[in-house]
Order: sequence, then C-alpha cells, then structure tokens
Amino acid sequence: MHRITFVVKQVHGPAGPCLGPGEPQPRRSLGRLLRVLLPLLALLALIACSPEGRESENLPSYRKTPAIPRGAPVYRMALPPLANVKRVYASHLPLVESINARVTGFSVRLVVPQNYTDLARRLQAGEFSLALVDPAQTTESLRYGYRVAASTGDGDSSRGLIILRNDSDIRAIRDLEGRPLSFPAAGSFTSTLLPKSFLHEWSVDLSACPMRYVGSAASALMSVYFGKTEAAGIGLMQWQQFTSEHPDISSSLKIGWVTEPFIADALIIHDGMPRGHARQVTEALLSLHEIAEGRDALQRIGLPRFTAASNDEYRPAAEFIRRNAAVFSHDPQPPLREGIP
Amino acid sequence: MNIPVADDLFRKSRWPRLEAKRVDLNFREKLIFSVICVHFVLMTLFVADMQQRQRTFLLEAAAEGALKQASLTADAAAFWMIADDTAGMNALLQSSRHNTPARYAFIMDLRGQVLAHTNKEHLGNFISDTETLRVLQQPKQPHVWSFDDNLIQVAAPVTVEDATLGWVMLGMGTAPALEQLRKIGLDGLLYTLAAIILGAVAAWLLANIVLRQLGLILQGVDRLHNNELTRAIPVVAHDEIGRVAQALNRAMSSLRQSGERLRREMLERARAQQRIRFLSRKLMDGSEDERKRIGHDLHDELGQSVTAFQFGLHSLRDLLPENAADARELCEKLIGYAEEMGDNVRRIAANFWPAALEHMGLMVAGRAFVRECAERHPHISFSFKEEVPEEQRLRRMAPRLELACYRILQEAVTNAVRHARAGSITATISRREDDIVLRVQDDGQGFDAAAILSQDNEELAGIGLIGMHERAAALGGHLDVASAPGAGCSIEARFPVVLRSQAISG
Repeated sequence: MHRITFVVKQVHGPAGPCLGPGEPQPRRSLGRLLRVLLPLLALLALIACSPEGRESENLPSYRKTPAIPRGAPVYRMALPPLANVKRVYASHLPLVESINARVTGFSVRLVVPQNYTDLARRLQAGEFSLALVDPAQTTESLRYGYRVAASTGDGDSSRGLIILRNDSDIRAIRDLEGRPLSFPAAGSFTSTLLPKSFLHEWSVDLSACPMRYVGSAASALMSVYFGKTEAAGIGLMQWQQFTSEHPDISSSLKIGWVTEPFIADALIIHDGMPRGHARQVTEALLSLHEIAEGRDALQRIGLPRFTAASNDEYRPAAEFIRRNAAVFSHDPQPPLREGIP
Repeated sequence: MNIPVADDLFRKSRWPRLEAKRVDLNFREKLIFSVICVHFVLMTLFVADMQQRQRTFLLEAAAEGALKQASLTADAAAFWMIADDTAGMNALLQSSRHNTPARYAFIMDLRGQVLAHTNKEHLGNFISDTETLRVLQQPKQPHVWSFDDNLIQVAAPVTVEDATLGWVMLGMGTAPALEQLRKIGLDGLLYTLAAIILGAVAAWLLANIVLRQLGLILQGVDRLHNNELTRAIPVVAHDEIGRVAQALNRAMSSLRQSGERLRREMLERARAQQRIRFLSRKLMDGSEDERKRIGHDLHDELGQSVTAFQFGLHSLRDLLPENAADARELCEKLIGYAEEMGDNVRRIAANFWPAALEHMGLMVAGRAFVRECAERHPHISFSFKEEVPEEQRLRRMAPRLELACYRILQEAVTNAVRHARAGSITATISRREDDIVLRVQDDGQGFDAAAILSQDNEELAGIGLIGMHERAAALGGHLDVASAPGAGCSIEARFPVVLRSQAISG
C-alpha cells in the first residue's frame, strides 16, 4: 500500500561525524609493535649467532711403534755444506740413489748439515755412517772412528781460487794485504785453507786482512760482487758451479790466482757400520763410473769416478794443516785441533 | 541503498578463516609493520646470504692460509730435514706457531714418524690413524686432507727437487673464522636493527605526513557532513593527497555555491508558497464568508420565503371549499413541494454554513453531517466515532480549526460516497491534549495514491485532496492519504489544537 505524506521531514544522515562510535578507535601501537618486533629480533639473533665450534674428533693419533713395519737399516751419509744445502742435497741425490740401487739389506740416506761446525760436531759424535768430506775434515774425522774408503779422484780439481772483481784495483797479490777477504767457512779445505796457504806463501800478512766466513761459496763470491770484500777464496769446483748458475754475476768477476792441486775429497766410513755394508757401499762407489746411471750421478757432482783410497793417502793433508797451523790460527775459530794424526 | 563496503565484501568472501584471523590495523600500523617486515625479510636474506658467503670465504681463506703456512714450513723444514736436524725442525715449528694459531703442527718422515711436533709429547711417536697415514700416499703437493666445521687439516710435502723427505702436517682451528663470522652476524643483526628502526621511523614520519593531510580531509568531510562548507580544508601536502584535498575544496566550494543558490530558491519558493498559502487561506476565508453569507441568505431569506409560502399554501388549502377536492389535492401537493424545498434550502444552507458547527461545535456538527449522509445514502454503512477525553469535551476549539476539520470531513466523506463505491465509511475524531486527529476510512475500491497525486494527474487529483491538504497546512497540520487499488482509502488529518479561548485572545 502506498502511503503518501505531505509533511517534509528533516532527513538525517548517519548520526555523528564520519569517525562515529562504530569506527575503530586509535590504539596504542607500541605494544603491538613490540609484539611483532620481539619475535623477529629473536629469530634474527638466532640466525646471526651461529653455535660455537666443537672440538674436532678427526685429529691425528699417535703410538710408540710404527704403523709401517720398520724396514732395512738406513745409514746416513753426510756432505759438507759447500753451497746451498738444498742444491748440495739435490746434486748428490742421484749418487745416493745409485748406491742404494746397488746395495742390498740396507739403504743410504743423504744428510747435509747446515754448517761446517755442525758437520764437524756430528762427525765427532759419530752420527754419520758415511761422509764425503774434504781432506781437512777427513784427517779430523779419522780421530773419531772413521776410515777412508775411497777418494773422489786424483786431486787435480782440488784447487783453491782467489776471485776478484773485474774492476778491482788489485794488481799484485800483495795488494790484498789489509783488504777484507771472504771465505765460505773457516774449515773448508779448498775454499779457505788452500787460498790462505797460497797468500801466506806470497807473503801476504793475513793477520792484517779482515776475514769473513759467510757460509757458502756463493755467498763469498756475492760479497766480492757487492764490494763488501776485495777477494774471495773458493774451490775450483764451486767456481765452476757458480759460473754455470750465475753467468751474469760471474761475468763481473775474475780469477785472480789459482793454487796448486792437492788431495781430493774422501769418502769416509764409520767403524760402527757393519763391514759387509761398508764393503757394499765402497764397491758400489768404485764401480759407479761403469754404468750409465752412475756416470750421470758422478757428472752431476763434477767427478769422473771414485778411486780406492786409505787413511795413509791423507797424511799429507794432516801435514799441510800442521805446517800452516800458524797461518790458519788467524781464524776466529780454528777449524782443526792440535794433534791431528 | 546500502553500498557494500570492503568489510562487507570481506565478510562475504570465500575465506571465512581469514576473517577470523583478520587483525584491524590502522594505516600507520600497516605502513610501519609493512616496512618492518620488508626490512626484516630483506635484511635477513641479505645477512644470511652474506654470512654464508663469508663463511665459505673465511673457511676457504683459512684453508688457503693453512696450506700456505704448511708450504712455507715445508720449504723451511727442508733445510732441517736435509741436515737431519730434529731440533731445528722443532724450533721451526715453534717459531711458525707464533705466526699462525695452529691447533697442531708436526713434521713426519715417510714412515710416519713424528720428527717434530708442537706438542713435545708426540716427538718420536708414529702416526697410527689410517686417515693421517693416507697422506703419505697422496700426490706430493700441498693439500687439505681433512676439513670440518672445527678443524682444517692440511699437509705439505717436504721436497728437494723431486725427492720427498717428509710431510708437514698442520691443523688449523676454524674458531677464529667462526668468531669473525659471529661478529659479522652480530654486525648484520645491528645493521638489520638499524634498518628496521630507521625504516620504522621513516614509515612513522611518512604516515604522519600522509595522515595529517588525511586527517584534515576527514575533518573537512565531517564539516561537509554537518553542512559546514565555509571552512576550506587546509592543504599541507603537495602530492596526490593534497590534490584530493584541493579537489574536495573545489567540490565544497561548488556545493556551497549550489547550496546558497538552493537556499535562495527554497527561500523564494517558501515565500511564494507562503504567499500562495496566504492567498489560499484568504480565498478559503473569502469562500467561507461567501458560503456563510449564502447559507445565511438561503436560510434566513429563501428559507423564510419558502416557509411563508408553505404557510400560505396551508392557508390556501384551508380556505378551499370541501368539494374542491382537486384544488385541495393540488394544494397538498404544493405544500409537499414547499416542504421539500424548505428541506433542500436548509440542507443547502447547512452545506454552505453549518449552523450546528458554529453553535454546537465540531463533534455535534460532524455527527449530524454523518447522520445526514447516512439518511441520504442508506445503502452505505456510516459510523462516526469521537475519542475525546472527558476533560476536553467542553473545551471548544478555535472556529477556524473546527471549520477546517469539518470541511475535510465533508470532503473526505463526500469523495468516498461519490467515488469509492464503499460499503462502509467510518469517520473518527480523536482529540488529545495537544492535537486533534481526523480520520476517514472506507472499504471502497481505493486508488493508486502515488499516481493520482503525481504531477501529471493534478487534474485527476482534483481540488478535493489539494483543498484538504491546503486546509490542513494553513493551520500547521498535515494530511496523510493512504490508499491502493482494492484496498480502500484512509485519509488522516492531524492538527495542533488551538482552543477557542486562545484564538480569541490571540
């Protein structure tokens, strides 16, 4: 039914303003914010702080006896630190490998002490079963249970050299008097003792010359090259090795004087080594030049062959040292003691 | 019409569970939470990725450092191994340990015998675990032989030329790297915190900037809601929201102008309506005066003449001889005509001006009118109800009010009789303290009130309804017409009561 009214009523909209009582009232946002933030931050902290590492269980373990069964005896063979010990070791390694290839029931291991003093001390203690040493060390070692088994040759290459710079003002050997000199080591036979004996014979007063023992032949030559010393004493074989390895430096140097040849180096064997093993080593060395592998090994150390030798053949060396004891006594640490046999 | 808002749509959505978990957040909270969540997620991903990369980098660097240290130690150890100098080897390890925080370091020969060790307890011992011994079979180059989260173990061969003399074994703890990693993680946490705080502060500031303009817009909308269009919305932001405020200001300005125009027009219309109503009232008053005069004239003059004529006819009949039956019959007929004429004149006079209304009041006049209608239309059932409290019964209303009520009663009943084909007509007058209600109801055929009263049917609507409305409106009342085809009609007029005493004193 339609209903019509003639009265115009006031039409009211929704009561109140737009933000009426039904609208959500403003709330405290801080509590809600914290309720959201705190779990987030806790989660973040968990992510950020990783757990501490534990002790690893994969550490090596040890025992007194070897896991690998102990094999045949190993004899140590000493070499003097003529140059960088690594280079000395590497150059002599084929020689030892050749020996090991030719012996049975044992093996030889190469040892190169860090310096001559250590070599002398350990020779004296008898730590090495074998040693390939110069005549001075040979004669010294004979006192501590060693004997000469072989020689490195006829001694022609056992010469000492006095090296100068090309631009040196040294014209005569006496000009070296009062000048600083460098040597590898005080006890080195060809590098030190032979050159000193030579200088003494030519009336150079060694007591007026500052001596510098720099550890190796290369260092002695570098001292001359850098002008730290006026001349260097060095063995012929070391010079040849140096010129092949450092042709640029060696071209700035020259040989001033060359000494007469003396006795070659010797292979000495300690008495503690069983005679059968010692014989095998000696035989292997003496026959090395007969096989290609042996010749290559000998060539790497500049030797043609090993020859058989005995203690007696090194008595001249002892005599030489005794004769020049006064000359060598200028060294701060005399390499040899009194009473060399 | 109710326009569904977002909340309604949400409630009617297919995901009721979402509704249950919905959290009401205001704009500021949403913005801040969004920024915090975005910062948290992005920074967490960044820190996690950075930590993973740093972990890989640091552990690789640690392994590389360990390899380098082992190689250097192996190079240096070669001199001592060549010299078979274990004291030198131990001194080397002790010195190298100062440079590198190794967990352990040792040098072993090719049989696995420990020649030198940072822990002197193991000197001369042999390696017993297969994992470490397997190193002896590995290619002769530095390598990592064991790697876990806590320890990096590397091995470097001691070689001279192609010959291998032994191995330098080095165990490097990862604790420094992990500690560095933890610091990086903590730094990342601090950066994340800083990013979250800065982002939240920036979001808070941004929300304030946005909400400030929105708040001003909201206040403007509230003022608009309250028809306060004079104050413009302050524009504090020169962005999209500011442009919304400007647009709203323009709309409010247009609305204000339209409102003013509308008010002027309404005022003019009201004045015109007032004038029309005044004229209408004057017209009705004039009409009532004229009807009153005509009613009086009819009653007093024509009625007296008819009465005199009637008396004359009675006299004439009495004067006629007894045998003048025809004349006497004619007289009798004329007397009947005169009486009928007198009744008609009184009825017409009463219609023009109901003397009973003037003298006896609305209730009596109304009842008399209904009774008269009932006599004249016996096929229709009339009823008249008066609902007047006892204390009001003797208090006469203002003559103008009684007249308006009577006229509306007249018009409504007359309309029902003429047009409604009603079986019954009920007139009710209810009087209360403050108002009086006149209701006329019939059970007739009814009509489409909306169509009848529409503008196009003004003529159909007739003067009757309009007149009733005008009479009601002239006295501060209103008229309510309710009808539908087949449902009868109800006309209700409601007036504020004005007593006769008030009208006289007023």
